[in-house]
Amino acid sequence: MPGAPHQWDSPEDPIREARDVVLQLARTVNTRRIHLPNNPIYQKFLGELCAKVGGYLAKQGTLVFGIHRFEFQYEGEAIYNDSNQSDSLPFRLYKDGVSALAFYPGVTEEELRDFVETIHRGYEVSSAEDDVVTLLWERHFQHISYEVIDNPLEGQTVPEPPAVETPATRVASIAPAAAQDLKPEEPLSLESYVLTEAEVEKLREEMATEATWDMGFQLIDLIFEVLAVQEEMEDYPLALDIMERVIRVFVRRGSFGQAARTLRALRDLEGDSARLPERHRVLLAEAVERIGEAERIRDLGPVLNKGLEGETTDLEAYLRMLPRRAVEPLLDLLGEVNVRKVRRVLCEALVDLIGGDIQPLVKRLDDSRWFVVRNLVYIVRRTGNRSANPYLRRTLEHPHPRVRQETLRAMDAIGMARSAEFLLGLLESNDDICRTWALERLAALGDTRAAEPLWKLIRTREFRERSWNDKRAYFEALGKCAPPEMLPVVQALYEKRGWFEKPKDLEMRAGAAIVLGLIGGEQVVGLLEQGCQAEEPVMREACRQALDGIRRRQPSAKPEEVPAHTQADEEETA
Amino acid sequence: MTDGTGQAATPRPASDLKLRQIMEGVVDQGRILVADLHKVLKNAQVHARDNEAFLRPLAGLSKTLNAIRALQERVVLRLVDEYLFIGEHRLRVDISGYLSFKSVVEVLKRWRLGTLTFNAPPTEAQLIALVDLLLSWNPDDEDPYITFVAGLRRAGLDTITVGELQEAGGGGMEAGARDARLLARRTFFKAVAVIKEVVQSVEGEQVINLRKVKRVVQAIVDDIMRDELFLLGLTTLKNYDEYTTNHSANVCVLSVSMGSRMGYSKNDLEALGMAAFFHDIGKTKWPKELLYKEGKPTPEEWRMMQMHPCTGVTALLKLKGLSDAVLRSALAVFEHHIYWDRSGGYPAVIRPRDPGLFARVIAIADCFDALTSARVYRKSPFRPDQALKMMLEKSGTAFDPLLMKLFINIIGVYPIGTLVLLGTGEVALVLAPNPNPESLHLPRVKILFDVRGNPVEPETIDLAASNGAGPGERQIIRSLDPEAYGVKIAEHFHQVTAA
Repeated sequence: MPGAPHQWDSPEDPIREARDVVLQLARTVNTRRIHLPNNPIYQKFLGELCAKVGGYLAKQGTLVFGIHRFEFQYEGEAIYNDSNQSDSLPFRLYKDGVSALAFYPGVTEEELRDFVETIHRGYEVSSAEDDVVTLLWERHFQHISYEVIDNPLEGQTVPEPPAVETPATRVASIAPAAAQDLKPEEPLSLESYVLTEAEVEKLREEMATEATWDMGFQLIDLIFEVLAVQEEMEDYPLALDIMERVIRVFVRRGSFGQAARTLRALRDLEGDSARLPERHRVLLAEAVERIGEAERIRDLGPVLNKGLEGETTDLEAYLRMLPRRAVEPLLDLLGEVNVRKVRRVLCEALVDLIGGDIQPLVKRLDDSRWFVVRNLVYIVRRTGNRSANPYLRRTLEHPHPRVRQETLRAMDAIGMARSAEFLLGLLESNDDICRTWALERLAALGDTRAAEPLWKLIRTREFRERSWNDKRAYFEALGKCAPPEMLPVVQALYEKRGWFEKPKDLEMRAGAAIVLGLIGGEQVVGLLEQGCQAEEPVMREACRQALDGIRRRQPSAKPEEVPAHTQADEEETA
Repeated sequence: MTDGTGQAATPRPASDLKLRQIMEGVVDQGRILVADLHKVLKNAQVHARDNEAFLRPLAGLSKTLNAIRALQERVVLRLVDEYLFIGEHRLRVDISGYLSFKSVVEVLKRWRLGTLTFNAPPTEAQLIALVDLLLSWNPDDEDPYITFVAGLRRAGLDTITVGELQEAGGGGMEAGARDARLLARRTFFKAVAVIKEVVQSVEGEQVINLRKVKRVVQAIVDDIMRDELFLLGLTTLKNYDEYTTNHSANVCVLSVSMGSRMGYSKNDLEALGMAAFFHDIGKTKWPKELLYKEGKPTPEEWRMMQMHPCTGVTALLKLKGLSDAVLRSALAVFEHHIYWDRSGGYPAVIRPRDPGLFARVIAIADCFDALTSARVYRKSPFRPDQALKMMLEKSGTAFDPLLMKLFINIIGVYPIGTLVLLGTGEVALVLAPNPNPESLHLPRVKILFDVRGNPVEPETIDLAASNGAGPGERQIIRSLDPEAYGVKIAEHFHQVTAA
């Protein structure tokens, strides 16, 4: 147990105060080793350390501790002892050569915090790279100073310089009098060594610019130069390993722009590898492949779940450059990332990476997470692969409506919406989304085979109860595929009036007006013109629109096409 | 205290540690004082005394004087051999402070003031009176010092005292200088020892002890910030048998000196020092036959030699912690043979690149030390001034012209260690450059031989202060080959630094 080797008598004793400071210092450093800097216990100890150091300096002036192996000394007396080699604060300082430590009046809380941080880092660093002395030197404290001796544990290593003769023992071998005959030399001109103010400024600017260099980028450039230049380099694997490490660091940091640039450079090198020896080509290809390993892709998860600030282009660029083997782990990641914007980027990258091969996707379509299935269907859709047909029929049965919606879009994209049989089949579906979609597509197709089933559907009792908007969609679809032979039955519906006509009946007649307008013809125009005089606004409006449609189509009798899907649909996806 | 070289096994007393801390504070404030004084004198020539543009820097000057007075009882600005001191502490000049140093030195020299002492805090009116007095110099005044003293009395500036400028070498700083010399010597040989260790580690495929390298580089930085001359003198110690180790130490010292003059921070100087320290680490992979080959290298050997920047980079990248300092070192190692204007050098690069400042600094230091060292293939090294002239021919192509100028400012037109013939027929050795860039051709020298070629009791003289430039004067006529005169340059510096 570290502690005092003496009992102290007077509370005013400076030795006692110095001991209090050193105990507090050791306590604070130890606490910092266990806790984060924002930990309240550590903060409390740090505050107490500041108070104790400040108190001592105010009363006694500069505070100096001697350090000897396991001891802190004050004016030659041991005031603190801790012989535990791994934890002892005096030993930690002593083994790196710190033999004294001084605190001066004016020391600030910030300096003391930095000092404790530095000592804490001293416990962490590898002894081959850094030590407490180099860390303290680099901090350049204003009110804390230290004394250093050479390697106390390793012994003296500095060799004595070689002995030399003194000049006094030597005599000139050649009389220099002849030197007077030598021609004077032209001295250098002032311009060759006097710096102008503008030159000084230029140099200063350059220094300021270099201070802002991103050393990560510099390292990348450098390694690529080395990799490209040194064809027979035995350290080729090392350089590649560094590149991989660098990319990993960038990814873990969320610096996707840097990661993408690095990977791009590696890819470029790979693309230009024909001139490299076979062994290097293999190493290079292996290095690129490793970047797509599941473990590396998993690194992305925590970063992506934090969300992305600003543009997603860097992430997308990075993902698109990953090797093919990254597909499976990226698909795993789709279910783990809960940020919608990021999932969309993942989907876009996967579209590229899978290159039209939907097999890795379809085997995951039974995933229990609806959003994953929806994303997979989206990717299928973006591939435009027609062989996805049977899989999409499956996902059209998915319990979640957004999956079904996405499936319908995918069906549009791969051309399933052009099959009238399929669309007619969908009209039997219990799902409104599917039926409406099928109707729209049928209407767009203008296939007369759809007219009969549509008319049947319209004439059902249930249809009458639907909303006007829903009805209207069906009537429009019917109008676009109805053959002229259907005119009488539609006209009959249009003209069918009762004494006590209900609004729902009126909607049916208005729908018939829409169909008539789309069928067109002289006879129809007359009917619709009459309808425009109707008292009911719904009827009047339907007839007027139908007539407008006929007039617009006058030059060509073809019905208007309904777009397969809109920009808004695209935006809604994913 | 913070030099990391280790001077004592027992802690120094509190007063000693305190002294060191005060010294650093005084030196920092001293540099600000010189800049403030320069600004005040400059503005006083164009603005009225009640103008804000004059009064603002004047207030800054007053504040700085008070800051120094908080550390020292009196503020003594001292001019010794073209160097400015605050009390006993020499002020380091970097390029950003160069103009203000030059102008203040000029003002003090005109009045023949060796010291300007503020014994009490001056009032604003007193400072204005002092400024007016300093600006009232008349070139026809035969005894400006007496005029200045009388001016002080007349203006009632009784709290300000002055001392007359002493001739060169009369600064009385010997005791402090001896300590600095000993520290520098110790640091230099420690650096050489560490380089040997590093080379052995690389050869044996072992991990480089970066901690040791950092410690020794930090010591070099501290020594150079204290006074670069001592370490610069030691760079004349060329070791023919162990060229690589001494060369790396020399390049480190020369580079850090340049960096210090450029105004880099301590931590940046550490990074630059490390880069210089490691600049030839790639050569440790060379077979011994190539390293010591006397003749011209074969094309294959030449190709291998040109790869040393690349192998150097990979050797550094094997280090565990890729800190910024290590990365900057790696960058400089790779680029230090690439021409400043991209027109040549090696290794061949896929994308043309401008070498960074570290690489450009190291390129100059490296070339200078290589040219002035004896090599297996060139037994007689070039004389330092010859080397400089050769390098100047490549200024603007291989070397950054601004950094070349800066380098000459540090080592002099006749660099430290040049044997020179004076107009008197005497032969002398250059010990230190003149700190005033416009008088770089007038260094401080040590007379070795009289006009008849007889060795003389060594006498150190400042050529700038000695006399005019006519024939028969103590002016440098040309440099000489030390071998022809049997002079071992390094021995003199060894003696100088060990004195």
